[in-house]
Formats: sequence, C-alpha cells, structure tokens
Amino acid sequence: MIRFSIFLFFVLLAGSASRAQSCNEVLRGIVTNEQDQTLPGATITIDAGAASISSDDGSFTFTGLCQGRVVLTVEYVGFEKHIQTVSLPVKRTITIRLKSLTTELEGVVVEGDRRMNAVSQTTSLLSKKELESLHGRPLGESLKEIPGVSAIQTGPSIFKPVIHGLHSQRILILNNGIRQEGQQWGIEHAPEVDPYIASSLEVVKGAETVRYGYDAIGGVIIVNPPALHEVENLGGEINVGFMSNNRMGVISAMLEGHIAKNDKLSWRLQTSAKKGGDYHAAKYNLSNTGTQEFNFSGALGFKDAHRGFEVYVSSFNTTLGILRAAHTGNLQDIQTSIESGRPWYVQDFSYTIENPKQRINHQLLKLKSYFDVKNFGRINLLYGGQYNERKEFDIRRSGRSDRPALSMSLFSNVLDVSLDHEKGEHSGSIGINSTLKFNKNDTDLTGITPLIPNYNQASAGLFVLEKLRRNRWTFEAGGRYDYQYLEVLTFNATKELVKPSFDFNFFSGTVGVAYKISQQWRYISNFGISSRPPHVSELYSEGLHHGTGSIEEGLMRPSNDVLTDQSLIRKEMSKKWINTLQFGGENLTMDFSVYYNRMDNYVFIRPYETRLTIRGYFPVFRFDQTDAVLMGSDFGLKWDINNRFTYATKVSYVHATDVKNDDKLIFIPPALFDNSVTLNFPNVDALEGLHLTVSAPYTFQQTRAPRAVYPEDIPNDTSNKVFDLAPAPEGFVMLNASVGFDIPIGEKELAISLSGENLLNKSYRNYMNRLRYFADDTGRNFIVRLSYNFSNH
Amino acid sequence: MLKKTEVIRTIRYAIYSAAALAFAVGISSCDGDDPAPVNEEEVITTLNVTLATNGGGTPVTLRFFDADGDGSGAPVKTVSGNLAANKTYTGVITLSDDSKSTPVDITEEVAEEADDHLFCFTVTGSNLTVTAVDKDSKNLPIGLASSWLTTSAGNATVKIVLRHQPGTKTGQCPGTGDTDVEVDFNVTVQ
Repeated sequence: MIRFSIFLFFVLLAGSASRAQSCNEVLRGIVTNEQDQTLPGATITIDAGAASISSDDGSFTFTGLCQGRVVLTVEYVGFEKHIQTVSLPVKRTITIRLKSLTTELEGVVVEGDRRMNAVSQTTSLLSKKELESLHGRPLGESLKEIPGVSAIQTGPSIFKPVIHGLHSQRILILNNGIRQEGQQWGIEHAPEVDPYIASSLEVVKGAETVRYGYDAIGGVIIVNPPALHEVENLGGEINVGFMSNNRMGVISAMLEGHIAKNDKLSWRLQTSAKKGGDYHAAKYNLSNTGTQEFNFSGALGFKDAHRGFEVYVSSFNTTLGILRAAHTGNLQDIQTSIESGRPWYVQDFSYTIENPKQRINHQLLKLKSYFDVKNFGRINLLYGGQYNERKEFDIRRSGRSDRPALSMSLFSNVLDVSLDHEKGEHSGSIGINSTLKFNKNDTDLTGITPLIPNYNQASAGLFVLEKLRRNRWTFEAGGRYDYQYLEVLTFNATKELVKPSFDFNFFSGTVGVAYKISQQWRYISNFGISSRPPHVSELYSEGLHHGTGSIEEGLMRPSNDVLTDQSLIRKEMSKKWINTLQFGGENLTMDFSVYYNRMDNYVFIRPYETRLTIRGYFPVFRFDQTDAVLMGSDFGLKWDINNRFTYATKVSYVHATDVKNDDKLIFIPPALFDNSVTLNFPNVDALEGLHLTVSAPYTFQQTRAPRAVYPEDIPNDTSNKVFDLAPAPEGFVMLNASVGFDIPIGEKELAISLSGENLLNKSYRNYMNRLRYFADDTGRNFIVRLSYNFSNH
Repeated sequence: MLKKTEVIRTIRYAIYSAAALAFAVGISSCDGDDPAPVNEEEVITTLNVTLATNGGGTPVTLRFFDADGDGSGAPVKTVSGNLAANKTYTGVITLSDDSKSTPVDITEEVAEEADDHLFCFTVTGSNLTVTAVDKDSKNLPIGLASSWLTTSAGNATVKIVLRHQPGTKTGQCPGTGDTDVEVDFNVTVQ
C-alpha cells in the first residue's frame, strides 16, 4: 500500500512538472443587500468546495485559488441565492448584491439559522472540503480538527467531543437545528449523529446558553446539512471509503431534487453504512472493537417568498464492540491489566462483535416552519421528536449475555418558537424553547439495577438576544430565563418507589462585542454567565459502573439513601470570558483565542470510600460540587508561503484547577501542537488540485493530571482527593500524510484521496482514552476515499 | 405592499403549521406507569465453604454474607471454628443470592458453566494447601470441590477468587477473564 502511494506520488510529480499553472490567486468580495448595506454572515462557496462566511462588514476573501473560472455561490437566508462565474485573476474587490426574497416587506430583513449564533462568539467551522477528508470517522473524532476541541475516547470507535475542557451534559449538539437528546451524560456514550449528513460542522466555544439553553454551558456543536432547494435538476453525491487498520468499508449516498417542475417543493434522501472489524494497535489486535452502522434520512421542503415548511426524518443505528480486555470484574483485574501492559485478550482479526458491546438506535422527526410577518420579522416554529434507545451488553452468567445489562429509552420532544427581526443596524431574536422528556429503563429485560433512574422532565426557556451594528462595532446582549420541572422515579434501600420532584428556575446572560480593527484584523470578546441544575445522572446515579470498576453515587444518593429536599441542590454556574483576535490576509489567516471560565458548584465525582463486596474492594465515587477554573488558549494559523507551499499550525492548551480544594481535574485534554505542510501541484490534464499534506501533531503529556493511585492501593487511600488509576501517559508525536486530487468525469469531478495515519506505527497511549489502562491506541492506518458529487447547483 | 388575501393566507398557513406541531406533540405518549422494583438477577450475597473431615465431626464453615450486594451495608465474614493440624478436609463451595424471598442457588449456575469458571485459592501461610479436585468437561479444574490439607499449627489466610473465563479457560490461576468473587478468610490451624 505504501509502495503504491509513493509510486503514484512520483508519477504525479513527474506529470505535474510539464505544465505549471499558478494557484496563488486571491478573490476578495463584499456581500450587500440591494440598499448596499453590507451583510455579515452570508455563506460564500467556491465550486461547492471551500466555504467562507462574510465578516462583520460583509467582506470575504479566498486565497490559494488557481487561475481560471470558478463558480461562486452566495447564500443568505431571506435572499435569493446568487451564483456567479468569476474568471481569475481578478484584481478588484467584487461586490455581490443579493436580492431580497421579501422585497414587498420593506425594511424588514430576516435572518436564518446561521445568524442565530452570536456574532461576538468564537466559532470555528469545518467546511465541506475538510469534512470530505475526514469521511468515515465518527463525529467526535472529526471535531478534533478544530483548535480547542478534543475528544474523550472509550476505545478506538467511541469519541465524545470536549470543548475547552468540558464535555457530556455540558455540551449541546444541534443536529439539523434540533437539540440532540440522547444519553449525553455518559463518557462512553458517543453522539448519535451520522457525520455524513453534514455539509459543515460548526463549534461555538463560548457558553451559548442564552440562545440554546442550559446544556450549552460548555459550548455548542452545530451539524449543518446542506440547505434544501439548492439543486436545479436531480443531484447527488456518493462517497466510498476503505480503512486498512480495522478493514472498514464505508459508503454513503445522497440524492436530491425537485418534485415535478415545481421548484418550491424539493426533497433529499441520504444513507450511509459502515462495517469495520477489530482495530489494531502497533503490536496487537484490539479484540472486539468492531463497528457497524446504518443510517438514513429523508427531507421534504416547501419554500416560497415568505414562508417555508420542512419535514425531516433520520435514523441512526449502530453496534459498537468494546475492547474485550477492558471488561473487568474488580480492582485486582484492573491492576493486573495495568501491570501487564498488554491486553490479556488478543485474538485474530474478526468482524464479529461479541460482548461487551453497545447497540444504539436514534430516531428523529423534525418539522420546521417559518413565515414572514409584515413589518415585524420572521416567525420560526420547530418541533423535534426523538426516540433514543441504548442497550449495553455485558459478559454475564447463565446465558444472560443475550440480554442487555442496560436498556434505556429516552423519548423527547422539543418545541421552539422564535421571532427574528432586523431594522437597519439593529437586529435580534426572541424565542421560547420547550422540551418534554421521558427516560425509561427496561429492568425486566436487564435484571440489573440501572445506573440512572427513570425520570420525566419538562422545561421551558424564554430568551431575548439583540444586536446593534455601528460602523466598525457590533454590540450584542442577551438574557434568558429557564424553568425546569423534574420528576425522578427511583427506589430506596428497601425497594420502595420514591418520586422526588423539583422545580428549578435559572437565568443566563451574555454581552459581547466585535470590532473590526482594519481590513484584515478583527477582535471579538464575549462574556457569558450561565447556570444549569445538575443532570439526573449527577443527582441520582447509583450502582456499579462497569467500565470504570467503581461504584457511583449521585449528589442526592449518599450511601443508599434517597434525598428529596430541593434545597440541597446547588446550580452549577459558569462565568466565561473569551477573547479572540482574527487576521484574514491575502496569504495568511490567523485565529487566536484566550479564555477564562470560572465554574461555581462545578459537578464532578470524587473518591469517597472503599467498599468491600463479595467481588473484593471497590472505590465508591460520590458526585460532589466544587469551584473550578478552566482557562486556556487556542491558536490556528494558515500561511500560503507561495503558490506551492502552505503551512498550517494549531495549538491548544487548557489549564484546569479545582480552586476550592486546590486540586486538579481529571480528563482535561493535554496541550496539542499540530504542524502541517501542504505541497500543491499544478494541474495536469486529467488531474486537478493535486496536493500532498504531511502533518505531525504532537500531544504533550498531561502534566496536570490528578495523582495516580494504582487499583491495588485504593483500599488504603483515604484522602478523598481525585485520583487516576494510572499516571498520565507520555507525550507522543504522530506522522500523517495524505495525497488528494480530482479527476474530471463529464461535467463533475471524482475526488480521490489516499492518506496514512500513524505512518511510523508508533505504540502510544492517549491520556484522553479511557481504555488506556488496558491497551495501546491504534497503529498505522491507510485510508482511501472516493467522493463523486453530481449535484447541479 | 402585501395584499389582504396574502395576509389571510399567511395567517391560515401559520395556523396550519401550529396545528401540525401541536399534533406532533400530542402524539408523544404521556408519562407511563410507575416502574416496578428491579429483580436483581446476578447478585451473589453469600459464599459458603464447608470443610469436613473423613473422620466426621462438626464441619468448619467459612461464610461471607453481604445482604445488600453492592450497597453500603457492610458484609459479615464468619469462620465457625479452627482447623485441626495434619488433616485433610473436603471443601465444598456454595454460592447463593439470599436477598430474594426464595434464595437463588448460584452454585448451580456456576456448575452448569463449569467450562467457563475457575476457583483460585491463594494461601498465605505454609501450614495449609488448598487444591481444586473437581474437573470440567475439558478435564480442567473447577474448584467447587476442593481438598484442604493442614500441617503444623498456626495462622493462614485463604483468598478465594472465582474467575469467569468464557472461552478462555486454561485451568491456570488467575488466567484471563473477570472476577466474580474475591473473598479472604483468616483461618487458624491448631
């Protein structure tokens, strides 16, 4: 395989030398409305590949373009889509004047989903082109490409996104406009989202609680599918991928079009499937880490000048094997694993997924509607119904392995109503979000006390978010009030049903400013206060958590007791200030953020005691609250040195402290320093956009990991201070490379990429992988990706 | 300017979409019944080791009992008496879940899956040796039946570990797999 890619590389290199063509053209433009007022936040796409969002003054810049014709698509909700062909080079700044769809509604301009995010927030985007190079990876792993975003892993296939050191119930995932309601609380619960539905992934790194509610306290991940109504005829896309490490095949397909000749009514069907076997570390198989996934979705949309309606259904279904060697019965088992340095269960490669495993199904129905009201703005209505089923299978006695050890279903309903308005320099959004959730455990099926109890939850939030643009400044302020009713159905020590119920009232607020220093420089600053009541898992968890070999007790469940007094519950409150400086020059783009996040009543788990059971000693972890400070910095830079070379670097660092106990926090991502160099080749007859990228991300050792207490020493440790079962692994550097190019087929292009990850087949362990006590991380991996897009935009 | 019919159409459209949304919320099933308490099926509350000599007499029992499983209630460990020096005892292990109104015999579950289970005995002290005497279908030891051989007087600690090794049992201790039971007993030989 490697020989083949090297051969190909030289063939391509030889071919490319014959005809040189420069690819360092710059295209600058500005997006305005018909009154020549600039439009920030418009989406500009080139040849359905590179994408950009116009900045505060409506301007945008593309660099590193090749000479020739490019098709520029500019979109902005409330305006007609603008498509223009531009012949490069162009020296002047082009002006794109968008025609309003609501010309009759004089003075009223509406805004779309994208602009619902605060302008003063620090956001990062993975474009369609970038996502193509990540196809086949789970959502959480793809997001690691963004500086400041990392992932907490349970083995090679379960990734949970971490934004600035926060994860799980503190991060909101917005899937096609609907808040993802899955079992987010568990570290080993990956987001139930098919990354193939996305044409871009966006991450909001500040607390965005005002717009989205309390679960956005640590940030928001926005999964954006392409908008409907884009195609003129039938269009679509096919992606195929192969991965050598786990011999995985992935395929995805999408078809879209209009119904009859009516371009007001359009549809899209999409599906993806993958099957992979055991992953492989540098020196051994990671037995029972296979994956299977099958997803599909369908959308039907109606749209005319003043209104629109959309129905969307999606189904996500996966089975994930958990490393067999990570299944442990007691502390001694974990001790043995740590000491041996090699998993005790290593078998030949297999596609079979045995226990322990997870089976997850997530179904979504979305109904969306909007309509414009004269001299008022746009009213949006959104309903999302979701049914999440999670089954975890364990190794059990007497044929019970066929029955899940955990089986829960979460049925949730989201209803959002919002009003967007804009008049001159002033714009804003007012809205109500409401949710209704029912979480149930099927204990007849499992025969095991569930870790979190059944619960019913109803909540409603009211928000106002207003913006004012004045010259180079954009000011933003917002506030939100939330109400939550929670009823928990749990059992006390004598197996009597207890139904504590709570009423929570809480507030969030945000202020921000964006200032355009010059044509290239931009500064944004946002301060947000957010609060959230603890999640049910933090309040009422109870029992043995198999993956961690520990007993967990919620804030309201000390030692088999069930507390019901609401006055004992303290809300977690975050005060986060984030500052970002951006530079968008001709050959250089740069993004630098610094943040400080003070969290009062931060919920975490701490060791409380050691308990003797018939399986030996177990550490008992009790949920507790403390005051924490998470601060850090992200830096990203991309420099087109000349028409051949591009250099990119990314740096992320988080420093987290439990300030109340003067202690460290566990599972905080270590510092990352990633460097890559891309070599762009001139176009040859049948090959376009040929490029070779070599990257070497360096992950530092987490020097601020909690102290290590080996499992065998736990019974003697009585300090109640946070500990980890093993010291943080050493830092490591990886070597990755990829070659990509396009082959024209008819009017369209087939994009091909060959990449290699961990080329040196290094043995390493990642601090953020919870299976690092048991096995090394994955070894060398070669990936072939083919992508053919036949949409007629 | 917007025409009057347009306004009416817009309002009608608004009502329709609101109705559709209300319907969607309406079909969402309401709060179900109260859940029933969990019938915990895999709890082991009790381990009993009965040690009897060929010569008869009252057998010695070692017992570990934890009424609430993984709960916070402390387990109770009892050793009914001392072992005599220079004797061979026949050990029989029984496991049960006594937290139910009808106790569940776990010994039977282990015996049925003898090919996947192995008891490991670790003795600290030179005056006692414990060996499994029963065999599974592959002629590998199980340990439900064992032989306890005492020599001189003194104290010893016996750690009894039940290993669950589906498909990977080799008869070696501790071998692969997970631990289902791990209990220590202090015994005195006199």
